[in-house]
Amino acid sequence: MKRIAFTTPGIVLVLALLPTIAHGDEDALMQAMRAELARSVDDLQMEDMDKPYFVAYTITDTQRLTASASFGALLPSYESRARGLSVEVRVGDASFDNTNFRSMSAFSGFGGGTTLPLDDNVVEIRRQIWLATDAAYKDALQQLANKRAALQNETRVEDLADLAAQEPFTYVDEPNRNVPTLDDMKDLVRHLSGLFRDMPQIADSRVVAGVTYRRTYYVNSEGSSFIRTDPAASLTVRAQAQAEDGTILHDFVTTNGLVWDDVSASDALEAEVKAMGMAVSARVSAPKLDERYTGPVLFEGQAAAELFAQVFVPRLLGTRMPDTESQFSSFMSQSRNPFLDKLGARVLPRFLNLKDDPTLAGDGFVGGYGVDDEGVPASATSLVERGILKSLLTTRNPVQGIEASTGNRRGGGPVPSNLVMTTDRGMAREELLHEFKLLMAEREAEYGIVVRRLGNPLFRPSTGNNISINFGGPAQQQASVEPALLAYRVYADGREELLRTVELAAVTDSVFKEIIAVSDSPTTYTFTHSPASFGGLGTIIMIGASGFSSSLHAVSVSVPDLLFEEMSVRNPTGNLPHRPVAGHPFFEE
Amino acid sequence: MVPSGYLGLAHRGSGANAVGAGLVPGRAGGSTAVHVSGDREVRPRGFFAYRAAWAWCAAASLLALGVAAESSVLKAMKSELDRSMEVLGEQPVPPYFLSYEITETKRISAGAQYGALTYSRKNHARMLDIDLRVGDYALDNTRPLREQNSLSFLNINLVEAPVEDDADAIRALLWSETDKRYKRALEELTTVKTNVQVKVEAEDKAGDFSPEEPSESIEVERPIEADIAAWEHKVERYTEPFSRYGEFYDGRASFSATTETRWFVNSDGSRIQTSETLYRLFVSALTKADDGMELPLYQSYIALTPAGLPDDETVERDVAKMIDTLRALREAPLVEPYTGPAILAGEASGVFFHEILGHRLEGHRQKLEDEGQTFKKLLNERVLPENFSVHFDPTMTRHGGTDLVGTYRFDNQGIKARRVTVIDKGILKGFLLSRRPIDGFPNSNGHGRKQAGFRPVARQSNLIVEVTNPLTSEELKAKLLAAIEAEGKPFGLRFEAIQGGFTTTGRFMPNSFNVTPLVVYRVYPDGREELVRGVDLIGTPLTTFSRVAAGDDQIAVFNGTCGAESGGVPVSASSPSILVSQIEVQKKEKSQERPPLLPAPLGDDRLGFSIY
Repeated sequence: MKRIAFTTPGIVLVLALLPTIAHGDEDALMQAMRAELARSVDDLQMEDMDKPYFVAYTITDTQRLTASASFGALLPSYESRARGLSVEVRVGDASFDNTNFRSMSAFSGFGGGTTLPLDDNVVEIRRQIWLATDAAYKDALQQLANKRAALQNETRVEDLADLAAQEPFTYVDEPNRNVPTLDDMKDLVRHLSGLFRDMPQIADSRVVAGVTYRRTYYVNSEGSSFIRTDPAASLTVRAQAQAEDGTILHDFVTTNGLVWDDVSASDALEAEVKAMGMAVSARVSAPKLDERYTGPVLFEGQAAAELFAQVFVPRLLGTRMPDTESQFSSFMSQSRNPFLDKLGARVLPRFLNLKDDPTLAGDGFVGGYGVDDEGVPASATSLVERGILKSLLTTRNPVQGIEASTGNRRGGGPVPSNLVMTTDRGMAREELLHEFKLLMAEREAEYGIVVRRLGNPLFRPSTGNNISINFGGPAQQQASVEPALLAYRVYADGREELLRTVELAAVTDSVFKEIIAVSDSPTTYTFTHSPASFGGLGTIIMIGASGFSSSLHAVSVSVPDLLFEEMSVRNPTGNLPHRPVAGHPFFEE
Repeated sequence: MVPSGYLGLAHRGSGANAVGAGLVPGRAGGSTAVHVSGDREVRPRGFFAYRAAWAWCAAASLLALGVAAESSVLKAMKSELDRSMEVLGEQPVPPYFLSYEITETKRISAGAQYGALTYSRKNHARMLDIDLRVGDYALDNTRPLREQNSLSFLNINLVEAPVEDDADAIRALLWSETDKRYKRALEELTTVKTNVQVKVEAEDKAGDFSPEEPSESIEVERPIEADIAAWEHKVERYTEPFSRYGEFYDGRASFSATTETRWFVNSDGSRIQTSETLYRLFVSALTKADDGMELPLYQSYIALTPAGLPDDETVERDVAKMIDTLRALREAPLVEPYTGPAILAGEASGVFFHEILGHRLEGHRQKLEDEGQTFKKLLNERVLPENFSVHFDPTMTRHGGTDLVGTYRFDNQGIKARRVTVIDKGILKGFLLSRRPIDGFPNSNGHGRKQAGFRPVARQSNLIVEVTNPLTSEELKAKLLAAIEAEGKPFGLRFEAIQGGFTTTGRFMPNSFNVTPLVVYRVYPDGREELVRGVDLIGTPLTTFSRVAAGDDQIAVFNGTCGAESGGVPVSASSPSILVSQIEVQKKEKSQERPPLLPAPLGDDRLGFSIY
C-alpha cells in the first residue's frame, strides 16, 4: 500500500506542517530530522560565510540477520539492528557548490557520531543530527574554498551544475516487517551445507543466508521527504573442487528476493544445490580445451545475464568525474566512463532495446523501489533504443548531456534497478541453434562453444589468501570477465561435451555491438551490484569471503540468450596450485 | 614492515575507528615498532545490535557436577593433528611441529549514549589458529626476514571455525587450513634460508623455537552470568546525566560480559582447554575547550567475575565526578612545555612502566636486528633504585583490591603461566619469553601471547611494581615539594588519570615513549594544586628510568588492552605512585575545530544547565 503525494510546487520548505505518520518511531525520527532541518536552514551560519543552500538528512534503521554453515555445521551467525544517520550540507549554489571536488585534505570535524539511539528519544536523535550537521557544514565551507582555490587558474571545460533541479516529492510506504527467526535460517543453511557430505569431490563449500529489513527516512530543505521500506533476502551456496591438474573449479547457486520465503520456500532448492555439486564434480575429470578457440559463442540463461552485468552494465552509470587539485586530474580522467561520449552512438545491434525500470516488481524482479535515495520518484528510463545509446542512469549530480536525475541514486551513486533488454527479433531456441550452426559452418569449425554459467566476482573460489585486492575500476576498456563455470563444445550433430573450465579473452563493451542473434525467451537474474567506484579511484579491497556490506544493491536483469559471431575462449592462464597432500578426513576414513 | 600497534583510546573519535586511526604505519622495510596501550572501549559497530533478554547458560550443568569433560572439539583437533603429522611426515620436507588453537568467544554487550540505548547484542564466534613449522628448532620458516620488505601483515589469518561441536566439520576445516599452511611454510623456509645466507651473521645465536614439555589441562567452560536486559537499563541510567549538558559532545557507556574458551593441541602432546570470563563497564565522555582542545575522560571497571563490578551508586557517583572534572577542565589553564619533578599516580606509573620497561623486555625485541634492544646488555645491572622490583605475574588475579585482566593459566603456545621477576631490588634479571629463545634464555616463561588470528610473540601480562619501605602519600608529596624547591622550579606536576600511551622500540624512529594524561595538576611550592590541561608526558627510556626516585604505599591498577605485532591482548599494570625527579611534557595534539555554532537542541527545561 503506497501513499504518494506531490507537494505543491513553490513551497520551498515544509516543516512540521506535514501530516504526521501513525507510527511512533517514525514520528520520532521524522520529528527530530524536521526540527533540526529548520534550525540548520534558518540559523546555521558562520560569520561572513555562506549559509547552507541545501540540507538533507537520511536515517536508516536496519535489521539484519545472517546465518552460514559449512559441511553441515553452523559458522558464526549474526543478528543486528542499528540506526545510522547521514547528513548532506551544501554551500554555494546549485551551479557551483562544495561537491564534485576531491582533495587530499582529510575530513575534519567531530567525526563518526552517526550511530543513533535505538530508543525513540527525540532529544538525543536531535543531538546527534546537530553535531553531524555542524561538522558537515564546516567541512562544506572548507571544501568550497578548496575547490575555488583549485579552479581559480583553470577554465572548466565541462560547465555543469553541481545539483540538478528537482520538484519536491513526498512518499511514504507501509512498514511490512517480515523477518524470519535466525533459527529458521540456521536450519536451512545447516541442511543445505550437509548435502556436500555426499559429494567426495567437493573439497570446500559454504552456505550463507542473509535477510535485511530496512526503513529509510529522508527529509531535505527543498520540501522532499520519504519513508521507504527496503527488504532483501538472499541465499548463496558455493562449492569448490580441484581437478587432477590442480585447476580450481567452483560454482554457486544464488537466489535473491525481498523476503525470506522468496529464497527459502522453493522446493527446487535442494535439487539445484545437488545438481550444482554434481556439475562441479563432473568437471573434475572433464576435458580441457585443446587449443585457444576463436569463433561463435552462444551465451545461454545465467551466462548471458552475467556477461551483460559484468561488461555492459558498468557502462550505463552516469558517474560524474569530480574536479580535483590539478596534480590528480590526469589520474582521475583515466576512470572516465567511455559511454559518456557515446550518447547518440550505437552500442548494441539495431534489434535490441534496453530500459531501466524500478517500478517493476514480481516475476523475478527485485531491484525496484518507489523513490530513490535523493527523494526522486522512481520511473522507467529508456537507455538504448534500436541499438542507439539514449541515456545513462544518473543521480542529481548531472553529467554532460543528461542534466536531470533519472532517479537512480542508491547509496553513493547511480545504480541500476531492473534492466530489461527487449527485442523485436527474438528467435525460438531451435532457430537460434540453427543460426549458431550456420556460423560454425561458415568458418568450417568442428565445434562451437556454448556457455551456460559464468562466475560472479562476489563468489570467486577461495585461495590460500584471505585478503584479495582488486585493481581497476569500471572504466577500464577491457572488462575482466569471470571464468565460465559451465561451458560445452557443441558439435554440428548437436552432441555436447562438458569442458573443465574456460576463460573469455579480451571482452570489451564493443563486442555487444556484434551480437548476431538473441532468443525470444529472456532470463531474469539478480546480482549484487558493488559500488561503481570510490571517488573514481577504482580500487576496491575486499576482505574475507562471507562479509556483507550494506552499500551493495540487488539489481535484476532480464536478458535473452546471446549469440556472438566471434569471441576468443581459452584455458585459464596462470599456474595451478598443487592438490592437498592429505585426503579429506571425512571421505578418506 | 613491522605492523605497528594500534590501540584504544578512551574518547570518541577514536573508538570505532581505533584500528584505522591508531594504526601507525611502520617505515617500509624499516624498523619502527610502536606499541600502544590504553583502555579500549567496546563501541557499537553497527552490527549485532538487537534488544532481547538472554543469558548464556551452556555448561551450567557441567559446573554443577564439578567435572571437567574434555570437549569433542579437542578430540577432533587431536585426531586431525595426529593424521596431519603422519601424512605430512612422509613428505620430503616434513613439519617438525604443529599446533591448533580454537578460540571461542561468547559475548553479550550493550551500549548507550546520553541515556538512550544504541546497541545490545550477543556474539558467538570461533577462530582457528595454526602454527605449522618446517625446518628445525634452530632454523625454521618463522624466522623474521632481515631487511626485506614483506607483506607480513598478510600473515594475519582470520579463519572462522564452526560454532557447533561437529567433529567432521571441524576436521574438514583443519585439513584444508593445514594444507594451505604447510604449503606456505615450505615457501617461507626457502626464503628464510636464503635470507640467512645473504645477510651478515645474526648477533643473537639462539634458535627459532624452544623444545618444551607438553601440558595437559582440562577446565570447565564458564558460563556468562549477566542479565542483559538489566544492563541495558544500567547503561542508559549511567549516561543520562551527560544528556543534561550541551557542552558534552560524547557521553556513553558500554557493558560487555565475555567468556573466552580456548582449545589447544600440539605435536608435543599438549592438550589444553581453558575458559576465562571478563566483565567490563566503560563510561566515557568528551567536552571541548573554547580553543578547540578535546577533553576526554573515562571511568573503566573490569572484573573477572560479575561480583567484581561496582554497584549503581558507585558508578553514579563516579559519573557525577567525571562531569565536574570535565567542566573544570574546560576552564583549566594550559601548561607550556616543561621539565621538572613530578608524581605519577599509580595508574599513570603503571602505564609508564608498561611502555618504557615492559615493551623493551619482550624477548623477540632482544633479537630482532631492527629493534633498539635498550635493556639487552643491562642484564644483572642496576636500572632502578634498590627498593624497586618489577614482576610479570599472569597467575595473579587480584592486586590492590582490583581484578587483574592480564591473567591466564596457559599462554597461546600452551605453556603454563608463571611469575617472572624482571627487576629484583633494582637489578635487571630477565625478559618476557615466548617459545622463541634468545641468547642465555633457551626456554619460554609462558608469555607467548596473541589475539586470535595473529602469530604469538612475547607479550606482557600483569605488570607489578613493588616498592619496599615505601613512603606515605604525604611523604611522597613532601619529597616532590623539596625537589621543586631544590631545583628552583615554579611548580611540579602530578599526573592522575591517564588514557594510555605508546612507545617506539625500533632503531629508525627515536626510541621514546608517550603517556597521555587526562587529569594533571600543577603543584606549587606551597603545596597548593591546580588542575591544568594540554600536555603529554614524553621521554626516552634510559634517561627517564634513571630519574625514578621513590614510591609510596598506594597501589593502583591500570587494566587495559595492549596492541602490538600479535594483536590486542588484555594486560594490567599495578604500581604505587612514584616520584620522578625530572620528566618532560610536550604540548598535546589539539583539534582545530571550533565548538558547534548552534546551541545544543536540549529541551527548554534543560537549557539552564547548558553553558550556551
